Amino acid sequence: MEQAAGAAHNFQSNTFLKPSLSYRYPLLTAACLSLGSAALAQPIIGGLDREMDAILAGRVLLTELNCVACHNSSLQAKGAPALRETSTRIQQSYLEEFLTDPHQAKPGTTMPNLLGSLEKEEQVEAAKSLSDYILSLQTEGTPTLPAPKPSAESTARGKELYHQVGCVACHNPEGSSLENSIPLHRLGEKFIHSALVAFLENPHKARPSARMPDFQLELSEATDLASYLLRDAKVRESVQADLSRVAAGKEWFEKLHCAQCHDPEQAPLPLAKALTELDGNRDCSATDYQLTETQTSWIQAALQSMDDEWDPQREIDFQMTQLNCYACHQRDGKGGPGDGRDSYFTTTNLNLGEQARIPPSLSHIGAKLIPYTLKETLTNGSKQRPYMNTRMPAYGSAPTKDLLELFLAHDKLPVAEFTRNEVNKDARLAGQTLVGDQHFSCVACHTFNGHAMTTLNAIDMTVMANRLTENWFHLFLRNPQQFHGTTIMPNFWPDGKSIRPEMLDGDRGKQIDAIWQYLEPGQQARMPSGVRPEPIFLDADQGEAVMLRRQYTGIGKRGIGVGYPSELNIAFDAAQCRLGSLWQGPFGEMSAVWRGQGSGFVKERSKTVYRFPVGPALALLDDMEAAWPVVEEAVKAPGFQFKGYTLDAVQRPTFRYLFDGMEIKDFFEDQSDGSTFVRSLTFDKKGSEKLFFRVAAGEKVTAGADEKTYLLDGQLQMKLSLPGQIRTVDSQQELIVPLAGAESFTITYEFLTK
Amino acid sequence: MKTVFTLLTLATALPAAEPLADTWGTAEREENYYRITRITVPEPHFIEPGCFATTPDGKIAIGSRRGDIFIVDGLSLPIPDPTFHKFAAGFDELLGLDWRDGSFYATHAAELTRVTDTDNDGRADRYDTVSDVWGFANYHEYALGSKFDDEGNIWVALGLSKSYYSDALFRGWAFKISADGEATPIASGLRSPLGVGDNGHGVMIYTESQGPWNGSCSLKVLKPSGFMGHPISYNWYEFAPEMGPVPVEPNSPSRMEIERERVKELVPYAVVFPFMRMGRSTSGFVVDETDGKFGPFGGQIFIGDHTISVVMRATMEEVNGVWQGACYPFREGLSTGILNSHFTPAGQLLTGGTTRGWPVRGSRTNILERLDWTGITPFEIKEVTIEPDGFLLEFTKPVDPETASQSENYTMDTFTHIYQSGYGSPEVDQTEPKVLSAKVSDDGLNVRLKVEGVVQGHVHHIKVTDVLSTEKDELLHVDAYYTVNEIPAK
Repeated sequence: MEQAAGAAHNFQSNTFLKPSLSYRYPLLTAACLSLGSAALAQPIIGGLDREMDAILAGRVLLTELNCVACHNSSLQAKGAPALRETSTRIQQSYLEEFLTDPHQAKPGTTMPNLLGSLEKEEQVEAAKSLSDYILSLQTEGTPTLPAPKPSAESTARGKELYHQVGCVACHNPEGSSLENSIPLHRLGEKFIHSALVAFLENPHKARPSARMPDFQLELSEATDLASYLLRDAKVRESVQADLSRVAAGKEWFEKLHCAQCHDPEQAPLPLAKALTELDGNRDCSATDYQLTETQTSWIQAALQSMDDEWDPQREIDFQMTQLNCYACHQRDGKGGPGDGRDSYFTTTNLNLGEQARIPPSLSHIGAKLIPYTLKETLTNGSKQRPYMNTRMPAYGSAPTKDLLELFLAHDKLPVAEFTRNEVNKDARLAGQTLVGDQHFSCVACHTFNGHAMTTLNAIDMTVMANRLTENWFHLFLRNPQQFHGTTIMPNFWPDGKSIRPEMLDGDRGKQIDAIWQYLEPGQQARMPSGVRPEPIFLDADQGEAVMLRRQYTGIGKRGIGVGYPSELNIAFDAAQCRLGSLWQGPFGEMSAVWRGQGSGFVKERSKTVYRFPVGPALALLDDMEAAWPVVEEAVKAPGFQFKGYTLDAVQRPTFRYLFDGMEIKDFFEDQSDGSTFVRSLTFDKKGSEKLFFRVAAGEKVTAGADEKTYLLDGQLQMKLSLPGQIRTVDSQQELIVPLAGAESFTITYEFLTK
Repeated sequence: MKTVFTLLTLATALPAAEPLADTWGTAEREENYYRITRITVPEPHFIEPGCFATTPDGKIAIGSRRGDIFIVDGLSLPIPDPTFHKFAAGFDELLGLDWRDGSFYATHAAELTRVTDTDNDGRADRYDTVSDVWGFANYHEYALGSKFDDEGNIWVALGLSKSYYSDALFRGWAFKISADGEATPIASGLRSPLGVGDNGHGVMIYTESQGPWNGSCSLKVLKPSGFMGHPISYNWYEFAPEMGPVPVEPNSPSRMEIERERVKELVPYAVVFPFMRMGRSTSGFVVDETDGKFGPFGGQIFIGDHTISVVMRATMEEVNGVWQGACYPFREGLSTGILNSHFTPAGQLLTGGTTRGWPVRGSRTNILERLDWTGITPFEIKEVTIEPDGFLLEFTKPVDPETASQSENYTMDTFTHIYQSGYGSPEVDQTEPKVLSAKVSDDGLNVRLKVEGVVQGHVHHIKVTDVLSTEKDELLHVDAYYTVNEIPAK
């Protein structure tokens, strides 16, 4: 017990408890009076690791050690872990050992040793009985599962998480022994892997006080973190508990008044005399808590001043110490990552400066965030800063309710005076202009709806008006350095004068107001100049074609685009059963159909796209002079029915459709030269006398070497298996092919230039 | 000392820029009964679930907005260990999926498509157009597909063009379509459906969104030859003679209750979801047929909301030949904009959705969330049904007779919406009915409220405060919203 040497200056006296209390609660008293065994580590409270205001520190101890669970007071006891589902979490052997002597089993624990006054054998027996009883408590939780052996990869990922997301703000980094680190002691004997995963996923269930906050880990993250934390543990199965002493355990449980801390709803106060009636110099038992002299002196200081009224800021300080907000945050110059832990606060974007890695200051926080957002942040955590590796965990609503109210009621900032614009489109438009890359270029650092202009990803502009108070927004923009001495955020109104005087009379207030109005619709705000979303490319992959039914240029909503492995592409029109377009190169960019509402067009990734005429490709004509039927774009072609497609081994479609009582199969086979498509149409019966096919139309169609060879735009060669001809009807030039009697028809499209 | 601070008034007024309303504030307590397990989809896959189906071998198929069908195994394990397999691709906004006779039936914007793996290599190779009876040419023309009904039809609900017009054939209509493609028009007057299916009583319903001619989101019954309220789609009656003559034009502004009398085909909202309090864009739904694996709400409707990332419950009953019912808060705190839900064979509720295009509270992408019943029964208002002289409240656990028999523990207020061509409606015509008595049944599971002032055509907000269970539980949620179209005769 080297680490504890000299740490526990037990405050011992057997005069602290008055006889009446001893009489009423003989066993509790006995426990309090017992001498500690060998000197062990004192209870560790994360927030108490600094030069402390002794009274405040004492009050923190009174709540965190649950003194006030028995001693009536206006203070709120932290409470202790919920025992209802202990059996799903904790191994029986560990629990017995812990109950026998908590300080021995887990140096640093805040659990008092309640069996210290008993003979050793009786201690063990009592602990076993208590353990049986606790494990027997009704559980409806997920049963523990056999423990898988964590993989080395999982352990490595867990190690990274542990040192990155904020665990080491309170716990020791690996290989270090920092003052007041909450001990992670013998976890392998306490938990099996699945139980630790469940705990990490939802720590508040077992520990509703939220002193261990909920990092809202993904299941995979909790799994990895558990793998790391149990890296040295022996792999073992969950052992079915042997619960033979439940009844005796229940007696112990009641005798020791365990419910005062572990099930406070069932524990009526007061059990012991009120805090205000205690004499700080006399009535303090320290033995069973292993308090240090300093800790005892803090409690004494607190007890002597229980009647003091605190100003709200000191109450905020107190509650932030209880929850150890100071481990990560500063407020009014106090707190923030301490030495030895600072280097674990990291960022993915060093270019954003210190603000990118150190959690934000909580000075004036209640005047900065709107109540809804502040409540959400405290209750459910926050993920507004994608670049910050440390996460703001969830503390739940009950543990933060008072703190929220205090922040909102007492954090004040001066009121920014400014001239408001009329609330209208013009103001929003001005705001949109101001934030764009041609003006203040806020978009140079801040993302907009997740889209970034550069690699910087400062807090997203579309969340600002839903997070911040309007007043703070004005004050901050006027002088960012006043809030963050090292911020890289510029001041656009040096000496109160706008760097863009031509907008809104150059008036600072009006300009900031215009930006605010523009940002108010949140994600629905229009994208400012300069922001371009990352493209989403879809391409043939691993020798297989890709396909997407969406809106395509010249076709409309019923397009079916296909990207072939040889970097040739088509878009087919399922409404009119025709080839809509052909292009060479990569297939498409999907932003306009896979982002936002997805109402745009697939963008073909080629400068040259050959488009074929709108309207059906097959028609029944009385003669060569008859006009081709006109059907507008995106309207179903009368007489046609699209029937679907089959895919070959490399996902290339054969389209099927009906026309004039026959089924047509239409297959495009890309050739490995990367410039040739062989398109085969086959019919399930011979084409009628009047059946014609329109291959292409427009002035750009020209005849080639023979009646089976034609060119489109001089660059796309079309070789036909049957003779065609260019005709002009109603001043419309068309390449058509009679299909009377045909059972198949082939067109070979060849791109003559890359 | 603490009292010093609790006396201080709080700055509770929220700035105007708060479009997603407040939460119910019950997420932490809900977690005790229905636990959320988040399942991240591994890259390179990207899934925005719009629909789900279970395959015969118990795997879960997911249809995605981007157009893929994934088959996922391992979702139901206590600690999920899913494997994602892309079965099919290329669809346009998949919003309906079912399995029948060796094929998927996928409803997407363009078609109802039969999707088959004919060579059993684990990937679809045959895509047959079952029906494309509707036009698809404009923005916002989504198609929502049901599971097969008992007669072997998939019901398809068709959104309006650009969400306001009916420019392409049958936009704003619903059809039933057999597996071989026979399409029967069912109803006109839809606006922006986001879910369609059986209500648990063999009656097909759909989810409608707040907007023109819809004061708030609702569930509506797809009554054959019915009119769902938005007259812009009257232009297609000549293409559907079996639907009968074009209905009378509803007046605007008016009330649903008044126009029901004038427009005989008009089907009133069965369950109204009060705006913001109960979602802002209610979406896909599913009926609990898990035989109790999901807790005490068997047979009830579980419906998501895209905007506020919650799942709610709804119940329906038929009164005087008209369907009506109630909605109840169920589970908040989901991470994405919910589009649809599905029960796994193990009785867990799988949810998924999207964050793009419209505002959402849960902003995470590429994620599935599974709700597991923990085995602990929450104390909830299980169902509200109407009585000739009030309402019957059924609870999930026996109530404490003392608190439950005090009529002042039940408060009611009612309202309706303006039925109008403009967008949405405020809540209007508020009344406050009086709860005259509360009578607890012998088994403690039911409380009969005798109420003075039930208003036909109004949503009745029932708030239950201070009623405890016999085990002294407080109610997990205290609100229910019952839409009264009809009042049963004595």
